[in-house]
Amino acid sequence: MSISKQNVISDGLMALFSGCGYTQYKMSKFEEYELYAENKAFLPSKSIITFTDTDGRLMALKPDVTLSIIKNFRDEKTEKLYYKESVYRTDRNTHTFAEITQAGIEYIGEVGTVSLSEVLTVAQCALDKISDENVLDVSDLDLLSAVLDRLGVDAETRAKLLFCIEHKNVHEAAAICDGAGVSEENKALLLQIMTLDFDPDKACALLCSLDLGEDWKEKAKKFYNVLSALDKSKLRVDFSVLNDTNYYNGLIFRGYISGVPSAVLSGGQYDMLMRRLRKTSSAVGFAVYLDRLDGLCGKADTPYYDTVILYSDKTDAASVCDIIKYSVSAGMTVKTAKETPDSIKYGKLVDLR
Amino acid sequence: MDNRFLNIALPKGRLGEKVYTMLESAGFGCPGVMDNSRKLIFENVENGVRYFWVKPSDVAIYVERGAADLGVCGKDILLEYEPDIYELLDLGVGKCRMAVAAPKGYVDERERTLRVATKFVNIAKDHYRKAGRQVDIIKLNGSIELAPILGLSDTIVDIVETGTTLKENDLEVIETIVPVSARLICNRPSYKFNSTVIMKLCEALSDIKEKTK
Repeated sequence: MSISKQNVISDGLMALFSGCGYTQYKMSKFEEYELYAENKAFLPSKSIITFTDTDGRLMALKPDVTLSIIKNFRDEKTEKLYYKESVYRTDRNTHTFAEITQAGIEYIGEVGTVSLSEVLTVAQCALDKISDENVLDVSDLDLLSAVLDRLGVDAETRAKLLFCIEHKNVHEAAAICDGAGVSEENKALLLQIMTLDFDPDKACALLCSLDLGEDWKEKAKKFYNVLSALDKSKLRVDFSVLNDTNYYNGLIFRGYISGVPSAVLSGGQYDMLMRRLRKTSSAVGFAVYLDRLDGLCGKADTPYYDTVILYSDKTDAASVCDIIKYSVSAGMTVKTAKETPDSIKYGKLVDLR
Repeated sequence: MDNRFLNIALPKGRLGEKVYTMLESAGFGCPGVMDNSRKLIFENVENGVRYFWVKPSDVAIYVERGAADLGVCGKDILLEYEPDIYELLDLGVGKCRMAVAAPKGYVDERERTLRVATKFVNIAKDHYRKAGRQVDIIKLNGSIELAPILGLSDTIVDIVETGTTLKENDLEVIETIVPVSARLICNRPSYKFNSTVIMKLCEALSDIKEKTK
């Protein structure tokens, strides 16, 4: 029997997470709706499937894994967890609900340079499990926020600039700066960040060399320290990797595989979300979107059976069952059919019609 | 997506032809692209580029879904569909504007819901949301100018290039929403795995744009 490549990848990821010291976290398919209603902006899709439980509570089919994990976390010790779960979200193209399978890790507790490097390393290993042709893009929201703060623009302009940054739209970012009266020096700084060299060493050298105060220097150095521990051959610094600053802070990252048209891995540090859920600890994690790997897996192999038994309504059922029992005990695969199947491969054909 | 080639989706029509000429000048030419044939895909093995002609409103979908690495489409399409892509360059061609137009002498009666006919539902919605105006958006697929003439709508939101069609139908622009021009867009993962050639192409196109200013 053939096992699909997606299952192999999924099993490989589970083994990787477990082998790196993370404990599996199993959760229910649904959760009280209130948890998501209070943190809707954190969710990638705003629509949630809800239903009323027998005790009258409004429940929701999980649109997200991280919120459930944090909710149950106690601020006493560091937890390293991994999961493989289904979430239910609306597809942005079809606007209908879809079941999406995610596998990922959450590192919750005391998060420092070493733990950030560790999580990024596990992310790189996860991408390697999927394909050798991969890239991990890394950004830092604290550094980006510091640059945006210097521009002195209002919230609407800031949102427009963030949109431009996310889309690598340098020409419009420059025009927005001009329209908002941003100084030439600060505009140049923003454009420099948007067009930063991908190479981690070159990017970090430039970030560390910028004279933007002690706080900046410290953040840039921390960013450099986290990245310097990693395999840099498939690592890139790219500030177009963004996420909601109401929930995320510091390091954020996204993983890409050649041949897959969108990011397959997404993660980051989400201390702000922890605060919203009244937790004092820090947290970082990532998810791999297994459904996005469908295109990569290609066409499934034609299923193979050691024995195919053909039967009719007149066939003695005991003879069919005997062959099934014999095949199973001999560790062989067997399939019964009324007609010779044309979409499978088989070793032996037993015609009992 | 074929990794041997840089796949570029061009919008059928004058705009696509104009941009192809720029790409050819930038060293990314491909024989046969401008031939008047029914062929849809053209390859140049020597410079590793492959072009295909698609409906202008479909370019962003081809790029977002990775069937094309790069594409050329109007800013109107990007604003309307908000595809998850990189917008690398304003090509400075195909210049026009997204505007609100109405019959000459039209006065907005703010006490009632404004009826707006448009092909660009999201752009219109966003525009009136920001203005705090209650609107009834009427989605049409063509001949938008007919709507206010026949009383189907009060105003229209549409692309205006020269304004001739509006003038001929006794309509006039009452407000410009956003200037529109052709943009070079890129699939996100393609940018990661073909960055050298894509950056080279961008720089060359940027130079050509500056020279023809």
